[in-house]
Amino acid sequence: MEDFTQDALLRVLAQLDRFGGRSKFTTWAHAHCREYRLYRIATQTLAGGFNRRSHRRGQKLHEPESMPDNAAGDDEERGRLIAALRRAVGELTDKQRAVILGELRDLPFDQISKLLGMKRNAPYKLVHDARVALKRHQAAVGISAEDIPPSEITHLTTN
Amino acid sequence: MVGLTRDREFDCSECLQHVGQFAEHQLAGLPLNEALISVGHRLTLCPECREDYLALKKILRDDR
Repeated sequence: MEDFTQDALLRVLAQLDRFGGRSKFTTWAHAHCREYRLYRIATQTLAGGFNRRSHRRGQKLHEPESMPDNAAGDDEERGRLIAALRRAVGELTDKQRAVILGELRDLPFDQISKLLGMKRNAPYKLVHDARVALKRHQAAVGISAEDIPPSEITHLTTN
Repeated sequence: MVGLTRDREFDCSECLQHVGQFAEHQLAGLPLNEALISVGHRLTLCPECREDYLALKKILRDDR
């Protein structure tokens, strides 16, 4: 399952620059990545109709909103931001990426830890480290969270 | 199928670009613009696009 999860995330990331903001980010990810869709179906099956809202642990994850028509803004700027985001994500460890995917998927940490075969609290540390790494990378290239449209990055930078 | 075919239609790739928005609009009961109408047309013609759309729609519906 861990390999499957990572494959799905990598497939999504590989196509990230095609995200045009016409739909929610997660909808786009489902539509463009069969692996991700299969991963979702598999996790839903494993969860047995799990209701994430009633079982959520830890902080609230933000569902990326649809990007307003004018939010795509300057294509060059958007491309720069996406490239920076991709580089930042590329520097995460495989496990950090897997946990970020779980967060993007809005899975509770309990379920992430089970899927990845980790101890219960391990995802908290991993996702925190991933956020810190992303934040530092953004700062290093002169990008603040405010520069990046929420629909592009909220799932990666939730505080 | 022949009767449904139009001179200008979305191919699978174009359908994929818009199918997420199409699914969201369908689930929300929102009106469809010209591009999304073309997606709907494509879905009637292409079993693969339709299969992917139905899987996507199920996931989105389960998330609601």
